[in-house]
Amino acid sequence: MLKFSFLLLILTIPFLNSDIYYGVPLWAYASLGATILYAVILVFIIEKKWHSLKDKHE
Amino acid sequence: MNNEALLSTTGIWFLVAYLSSLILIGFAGKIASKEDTLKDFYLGGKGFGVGVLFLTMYATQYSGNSLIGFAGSAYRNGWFFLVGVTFMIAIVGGYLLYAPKLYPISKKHGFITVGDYISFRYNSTLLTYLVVGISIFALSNYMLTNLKAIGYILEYVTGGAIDFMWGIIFMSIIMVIYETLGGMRSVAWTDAIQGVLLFVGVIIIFSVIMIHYGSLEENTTLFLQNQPQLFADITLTNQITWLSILILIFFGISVYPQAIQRIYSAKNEITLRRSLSLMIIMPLLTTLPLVIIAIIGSAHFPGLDKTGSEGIVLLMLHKLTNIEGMSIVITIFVAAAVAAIMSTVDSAMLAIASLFTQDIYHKHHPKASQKRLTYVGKIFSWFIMAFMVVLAINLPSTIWWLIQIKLEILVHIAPAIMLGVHFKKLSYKSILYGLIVGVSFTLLFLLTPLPSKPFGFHAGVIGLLFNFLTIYLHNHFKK
Repeated sequence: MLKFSFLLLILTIPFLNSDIYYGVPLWAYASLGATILYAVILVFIIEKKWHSLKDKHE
Repeated sequence: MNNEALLSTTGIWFLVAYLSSLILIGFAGKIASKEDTLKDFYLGGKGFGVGVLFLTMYATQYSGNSLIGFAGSAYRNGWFFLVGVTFMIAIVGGYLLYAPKLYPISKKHGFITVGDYISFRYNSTLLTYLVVGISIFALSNYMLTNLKAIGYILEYVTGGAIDFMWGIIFMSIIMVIYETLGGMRSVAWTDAIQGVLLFVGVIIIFSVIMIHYGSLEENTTLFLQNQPQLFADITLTNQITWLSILILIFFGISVYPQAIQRIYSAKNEITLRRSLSLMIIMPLLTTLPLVIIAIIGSAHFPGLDKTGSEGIVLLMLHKLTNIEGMSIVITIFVAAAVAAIMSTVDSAMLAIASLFTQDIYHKHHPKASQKRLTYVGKIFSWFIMAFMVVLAINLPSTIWWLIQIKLEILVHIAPAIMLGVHFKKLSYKSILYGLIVGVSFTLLFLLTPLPSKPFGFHAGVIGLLFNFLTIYLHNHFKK
């Protein structure tokens, strides 16, 4: 499953409207939020699941 | 070109001192070198710790384009360029598809270049040459755009005292000197300084802009008055473009040969992991502030064209020159921009020289000693830099668009690396046919009257789809 974490990038695609809150359109909050979620998952994979991504024979 | 120098005399001296320090680091790299081998020269003996490895990855990934081009894009496209933050993080996601498997193999078999892995994995000279050729093409383009950028910047900030041509020549000589003195060690150490300068520069400039131009919320009325189109609702075309950019960058930039060399050069696995973790955070601290700066700039200075928009940060700072200490901030920005460009050019040059020496010259001269190979690599560095300088100065703008397609071509080596480490039975023929079909389709869309962005996707992305499809079909029916 970890190999397919890149599919989370699809969640960053803007899909909400452009209503402005604190100078930023709503969709930008969602995209930035999804980006940060993706970043957190990547850090988790690197720090905790790296070994499961390695080649067992090497 | 303007006649007014943006840099004060003190600023110019700061820049000179900074550039001189790079030569000294070159000498330090030479003194620190342990042996006359390609491994020591092109990978720093594979001994980089977290600090240097992270900073060299950071400085190399963030080119002059990240500082100047990104700001221009954010100025013109508004919040849509938030995709810049996402794709800079996605690049590390791309590394994760192959680095955990590739790193141990590279340690075990002493890889120096991306060609080493391709040759080891597929045992095909033709495929290795194709991958190396595409890599050199993309890296050359990368060098050319950045050399041109450095020429423009120096001419602009010195008010024409250093003109475009001499700016390029002067900076190229500095880069090639420290590169040939200490190889990857010098490049990584100078990258470390350049990375710090880039990061500190962005944070200082962001703080200054927020203090003097106000926050995003404070500028909302101005946005809606001057740039209402930047707050229009997202369309399907926007969404397709977003996805297409992510795919192109994810598969393209994550297989940059200089990035792969940095993965090889990690001292150990923990070093590599920590560096990659830090790389994930940096877009939020570098790209995002730049996007916000440029968006605020678009509200205050609407109506700039493409070239003008790329100077938005300098323009915003320049308008504050009546404030005490602003000349220092401008100097920091210029130094950060120059540092970002230099760290990219030197890494690309080192990667090209290593690809030529290890994957082409060494293959034709298998008995050449390591000392001889290192010497050839150094000579080639001077040659390639001279060639690039001539091109950067003289290349007609009519064919300049050609260099813009580097990523759309480079993306096609991704399957060879990413699929290669995961599917042991995948034959070189599947990869070779996929590569040829993918590149052909990409060029078909880019060089003929067909739409260069079919269905809104970049030609490289459509080509990559055909590349993967060909690999799958060939592999499936071969069975």
